[in-house]
Amino acid sequence: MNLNSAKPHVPLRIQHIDGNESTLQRLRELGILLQTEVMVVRKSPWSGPLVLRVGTAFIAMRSVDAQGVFVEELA
Amino acid sequence: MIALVGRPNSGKTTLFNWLTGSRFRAVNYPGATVECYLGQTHGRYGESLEVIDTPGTYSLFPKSFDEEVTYQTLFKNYKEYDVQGAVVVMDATQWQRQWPLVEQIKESGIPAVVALTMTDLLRKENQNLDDKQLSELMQLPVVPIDGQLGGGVSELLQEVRKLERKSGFHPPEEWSEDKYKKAQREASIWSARVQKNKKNPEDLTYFDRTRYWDDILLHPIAGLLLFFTVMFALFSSIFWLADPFMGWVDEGFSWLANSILEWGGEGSLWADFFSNGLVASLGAVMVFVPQIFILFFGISFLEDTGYLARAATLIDRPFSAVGLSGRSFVPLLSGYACAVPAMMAARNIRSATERWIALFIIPLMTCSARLPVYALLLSFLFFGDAAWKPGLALAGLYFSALILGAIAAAVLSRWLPSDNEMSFLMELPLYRRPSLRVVLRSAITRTLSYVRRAGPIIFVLAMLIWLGTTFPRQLDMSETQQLQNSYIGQVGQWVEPIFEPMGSDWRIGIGLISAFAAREVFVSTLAIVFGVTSETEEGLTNSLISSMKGALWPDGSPLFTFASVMAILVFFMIALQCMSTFAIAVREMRSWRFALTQLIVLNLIAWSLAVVTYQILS
Repeated sequence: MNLNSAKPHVPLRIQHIDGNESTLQRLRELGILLQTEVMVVRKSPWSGPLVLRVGTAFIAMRSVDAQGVFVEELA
Repeated sequence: MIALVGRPNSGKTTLFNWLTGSRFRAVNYPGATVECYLGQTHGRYGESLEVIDTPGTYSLFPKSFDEEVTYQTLFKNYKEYDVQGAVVVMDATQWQRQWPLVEQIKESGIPAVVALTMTDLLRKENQNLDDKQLSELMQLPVVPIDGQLGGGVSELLQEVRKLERKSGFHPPEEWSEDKYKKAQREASIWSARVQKNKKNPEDLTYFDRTRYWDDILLHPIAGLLLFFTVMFALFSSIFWLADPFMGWVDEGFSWLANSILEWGGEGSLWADFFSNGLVASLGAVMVFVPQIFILFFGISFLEDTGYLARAATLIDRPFSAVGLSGRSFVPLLSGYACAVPAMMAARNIRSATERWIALFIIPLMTCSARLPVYALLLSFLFFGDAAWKPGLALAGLYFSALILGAIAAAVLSRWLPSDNEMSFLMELPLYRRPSLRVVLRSAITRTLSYVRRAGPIIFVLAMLIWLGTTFPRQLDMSETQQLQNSYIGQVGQWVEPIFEPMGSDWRIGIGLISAFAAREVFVSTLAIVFGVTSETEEGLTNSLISSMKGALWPDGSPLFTFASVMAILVFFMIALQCMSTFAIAVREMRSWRFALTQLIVLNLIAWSLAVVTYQILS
């Protein structure tokens, strides 16, 4: 499941990240690392950018970038 | 020189303001269009030090043109920017996330001091961050700064003075996933040691406040409604609020110009030079000041609260379809008032490629100077018709311009090299109470930078137009004859073949050329060309319309027909006929080539479409 299909406000864990090298780097710099717990807090209308919570930070991300971030739901 | 380095929204600019007071200037980095600020530390902190404020960066591995500037400042060792140490600005509420950047600075061997900002937020939560212990763990001096009151700044400088100055640093090797993981683990272990009675994020007011407001402000319906309300307010402030101030500036300069004329007497070249040349040209520069100040006050306010990043997120989707991002919204919206402040507002676009595109299409947005021209031409076309007809036509003009802008953006984004910052991946800042000091200062800085840098070009162009319409001087002629015989009049007659295919003769040509001073000048020039005078504006429009109806080609056919007026409308919709926009484009892109290309391309497209319109309709 990638971030685009994840339900809002459900705790998630990152399993795998796809994308070009510079996007991968930028994601790391933003603290979006493998095994990190994250949560989708907002999806924008017309599949605009979603807002992801990572710890105490909020990150805006376009759906084209979010589709490469694969997650599992934390029970 | 000391470089300020930190993430976007880390409080770097606020710290720079405290450090330098008003002793700073905007500089351009060699070969880059991104601006940095260079300043001297304020006298109250003792012997002055040179400080450079670099663009915010997430790491030392640049991925956008913006970050490239920070990278070059630190590692390219340009002579004029000899960095010998760094102040790494670290937001205390997010310090664990910012540790990787600090460690990268350490790896590159740059002597550094950590400035811990936003400590007031932590203190309000009873969250004491032990900076002494943090300093031991990071093996760097750490100084807490109070951004609201400026506390800690002199302690910070004391630490900076103790640094062993060095030059010639080398960037660290690019970090791997593991390296980031390791830094994250390290920071979380330290966190338990330096932060006593650590709360869950949910229990922190500043975090909770951000969550609360985001629920509303990013809501698909309520959020969008509020977005349009805020943007309408911002737009109103430059469209209507600025209007009386611009009126005063205009009246002030006109009064001065008229007084000089009266004092110098009729026909005195010197009085004409001082009033219609010098004073009027100065007025042409200063008339934009209220709009620029008000717009930047609004933008800095929204930026400082943390809202601007959310606004960009909300509106990003439609913009991404044409290769732009939500960050282009405010500049393009401002373009509907005036391209001059709008092009300056494009500085808030982080991606250099996107900024290029935005600057290129801003003149296509229907600015308020086009309104008097549209009003005249539409009143001519729909003379005596119901009011909704010209109203609908006006809406059509606005809408067509928007569509053209979207097409231009889509085409340009395919041509230009892509910039990683265009992928719109960013951290949203926590909501904060804006600091009036920072907001005011930003508005003043932008306004002064406009007057200093774009002002001279606008002034020179305005003087050239005065020279072109005043000489050669023949005193025994009427105003109409004088204009026809002036250099600009002669050029207009000489280039009549260019305007003929769009159904215009040399008289309209003179109007189009002198509209380069400002689009609305087209109306007053036509009035002079057709010898129309009237005391009131309404009377002027009516007599001008009847003169236009009577205007004929030498063969006796009417000059202003449905086809030719439509062609002029199309021309005005697209053409970049505004010396001030040209001047701002030169200054904002720091490139005459960009501005000249834009001037030629937009006017060529305008002319071609005007010709097509005329040929189809006639």
